[in-house]
Amino acid sequence: MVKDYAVRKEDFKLTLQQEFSSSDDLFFRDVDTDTVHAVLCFLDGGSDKLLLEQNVIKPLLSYDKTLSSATLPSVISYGEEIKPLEKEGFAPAVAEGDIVLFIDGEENGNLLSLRKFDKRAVVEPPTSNVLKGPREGFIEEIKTNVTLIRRRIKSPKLTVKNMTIGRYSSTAVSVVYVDGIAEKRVVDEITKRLNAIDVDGVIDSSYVSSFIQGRRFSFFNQVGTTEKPDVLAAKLLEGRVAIIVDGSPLVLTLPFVLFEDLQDGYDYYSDDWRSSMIRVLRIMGALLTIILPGAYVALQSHHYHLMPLKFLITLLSATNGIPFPPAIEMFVVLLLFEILNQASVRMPRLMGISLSIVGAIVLGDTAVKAGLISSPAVLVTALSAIGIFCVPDEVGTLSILRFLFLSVSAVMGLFGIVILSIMLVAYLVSMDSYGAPYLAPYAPRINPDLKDGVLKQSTVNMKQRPFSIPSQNRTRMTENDVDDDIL
Amino acid sequence: MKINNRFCHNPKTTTLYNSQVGGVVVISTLAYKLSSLPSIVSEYLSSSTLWFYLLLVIVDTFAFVITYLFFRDGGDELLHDDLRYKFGLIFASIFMGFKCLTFFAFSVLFFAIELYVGIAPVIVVTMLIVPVIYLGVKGVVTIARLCEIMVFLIIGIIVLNLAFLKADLDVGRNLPILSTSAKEFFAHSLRYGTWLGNFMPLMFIKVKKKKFPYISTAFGVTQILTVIVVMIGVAMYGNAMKIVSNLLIETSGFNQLSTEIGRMEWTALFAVIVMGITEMGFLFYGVMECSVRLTKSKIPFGFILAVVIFLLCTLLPSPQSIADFSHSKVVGAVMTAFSVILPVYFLILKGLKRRENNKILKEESVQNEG
Repeated sequence: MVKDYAVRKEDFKLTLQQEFSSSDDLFFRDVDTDTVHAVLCFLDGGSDKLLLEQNVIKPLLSYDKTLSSATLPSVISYGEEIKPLEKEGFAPAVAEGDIVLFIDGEENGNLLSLRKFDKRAVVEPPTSNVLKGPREGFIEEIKTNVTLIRRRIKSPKLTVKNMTIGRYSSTAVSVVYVDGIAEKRVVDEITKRLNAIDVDGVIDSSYVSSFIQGRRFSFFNQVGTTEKPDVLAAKLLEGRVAIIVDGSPLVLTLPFVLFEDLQDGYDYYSDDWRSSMIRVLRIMGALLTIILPGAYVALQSHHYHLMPLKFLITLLSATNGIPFPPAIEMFVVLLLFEILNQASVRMPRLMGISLSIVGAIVLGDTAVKAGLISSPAVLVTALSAIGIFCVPDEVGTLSILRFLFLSVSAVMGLFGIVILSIMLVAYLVSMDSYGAPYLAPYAPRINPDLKDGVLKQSTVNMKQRPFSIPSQNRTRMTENDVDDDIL
Repeated sequence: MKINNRFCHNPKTTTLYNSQVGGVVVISTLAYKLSSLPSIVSEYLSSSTLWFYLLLVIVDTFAFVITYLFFRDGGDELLHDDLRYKFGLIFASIFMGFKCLTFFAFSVLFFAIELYVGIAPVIVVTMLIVPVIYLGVKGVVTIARLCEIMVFLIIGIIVLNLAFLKADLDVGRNLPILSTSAKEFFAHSLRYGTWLGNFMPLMFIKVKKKKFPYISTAFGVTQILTVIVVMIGVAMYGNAMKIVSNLLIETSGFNQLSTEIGRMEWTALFAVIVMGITEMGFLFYGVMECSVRLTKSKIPFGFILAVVIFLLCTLLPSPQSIADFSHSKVVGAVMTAFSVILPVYFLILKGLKRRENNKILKEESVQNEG
């Protein structure tokens, strides 16, 4: 009997070792007493060893009857249901950080999940600082992220559907939505597309994002992202669907409309008038970023007669003697800015100070003094650079558009800018994201949704969920909930 | 993926909200009536220009009402396979195609002569034809949504330029001095049929109504704006208006803000380019829709029109010859006739088809009862 057990135990170990190519971090722990013959298999660093020792190994060693899967739950201290595991499932389970318990005399193993990975604290995300409002942010651990949402939507209707994506990475992905609000067809379509992903690994949520967006070659965001649980909760309550990917603090949301990126959590925590003003300023910032460099070049190269005389004289005196044409000058300055921007993002923080000095003084001031670039060109670039951060989620898109407008205006002046604008708007209005028109609520104009448009109205007035987003239930608050007389 | 949402475009039935149609009406109607036409009219009719525009408003309103009665509940859907309808569509495609070609020629002239002196027309033609084809191919939903966004900007620009206008106006110049007899006036008025019926491609849509009467409001505002701008134009320039190549742009030059923040022509320039390209794209779409109904493909008519536009605007010594041809006596009269007769013809067809369908239904119900 003992000999048979030894052979079976070795078989079990050998199978797993072969699967893991004899990896050194694959651990086995034999539990052999007179009555108990079992082996535990796990990966080093993946499980909580203290819990394993206290709640599993110790009870097993002190158990004096014959052990079986049926008696296991009454022997060890384990909070969840112990799932039986077939032979083919041993290796994937261990690879995901779980523990496989093999009991002598049984075909199947038993799955114990005592995962313990080091994780970041829940802190304010660096990309979404707020003056007022919750400061919690998502982290890289999927279960913590789900819990953060559950803390805000304490309803059994909040539904979480789990799946695994990635042939090698086996990344846990959760589709989260509020049942009864989110449109069923949207959820099904997202789930279908996620299930169809066949890739070796999913390292971040942006990997998933590129698989589920409608137009692969578009440089416009087609999937919403957020790092803040409060923002995600609000989006879920509007009928959107969230996709949480293990290992990424960025949660994806669908359907997505462009105007989402012009909104911010702070808008809802501050006064409505202030929010409206901020939104107008954001749009102006974005437009300034895209058009200003191109318009500057167009006016200087093609339409100088449109400028007021005094302004023209000042501009001419400032640009006099510059060896490059305006378009080349602006292109070079913008390119330098982009390079400095990339370098400063990746440079260690302490060295960033010296980079700022090099960028601002050496490159900027000296180049102007040397007469290589003009001060108006630097000013325009600076304004454009500041404006781009009014809409941080669209930095990449705005940056590309800025170069596009600059190139077109250099050749065709204002005519080019107008033509490109028309084509751009025509392109954007023709896009849609899972049934939501991309430029809603402005094209098509959806009057009820304008309450949360550029000019934001009070939350009290938003009695219905956005019509832009497909939803099963439009009613956000019943008439009885808000008594206008009291207000 | 297409999920049927209230506001999501369904490519099989082109249904537009009345607010979207309103936007299309504004942009398509204003585009060339306030830019290229006033100087041409003034050349023949001088002080009677405003009166011609009033006549234009009447004819256009009649044609629009007829067209509206046709498209409001989907006349195109009803007549989809009707041979008589297809026969009418041949003329409609010629009408819209010629309008598109004429407006294109005017745009090329404006850009090559007014905006960029000495530029080769082929460059302008190439740059202009791309957005026109793009809009045409994208279709009426894209055009309508584009108009929805642009319409407020454009009306705002026009109103802003009128509000800050600072010029010596002699409104008396609008009085009809009887230098032309009534017979001559009406005979000349027939020449400008190319500028009528800009909204004809709307016949391929169906309207979903919102509460507010957007279409009639938009049409009314457009006509009022047109008349006001022309009246001011005549009051400003008088007989000299014949040398004003683009009334909307030239008028905005008299904006008081020009001295402070630079010449305000660029605002009107923006409005004119946007309206012009959108209108040409809309006509291009109309021609392609005719093609779909006649040949089951957008490509034949679309391709022919694009090639004709490109070749004529680049190979002819000057696009001016196309512009002149468009308001010659015979062509003008034919286009005027088309702009009125075609909507009436389509509306009559719709009525006949309805009656035929009702008859069939009645016969079927009698048979069933029997």
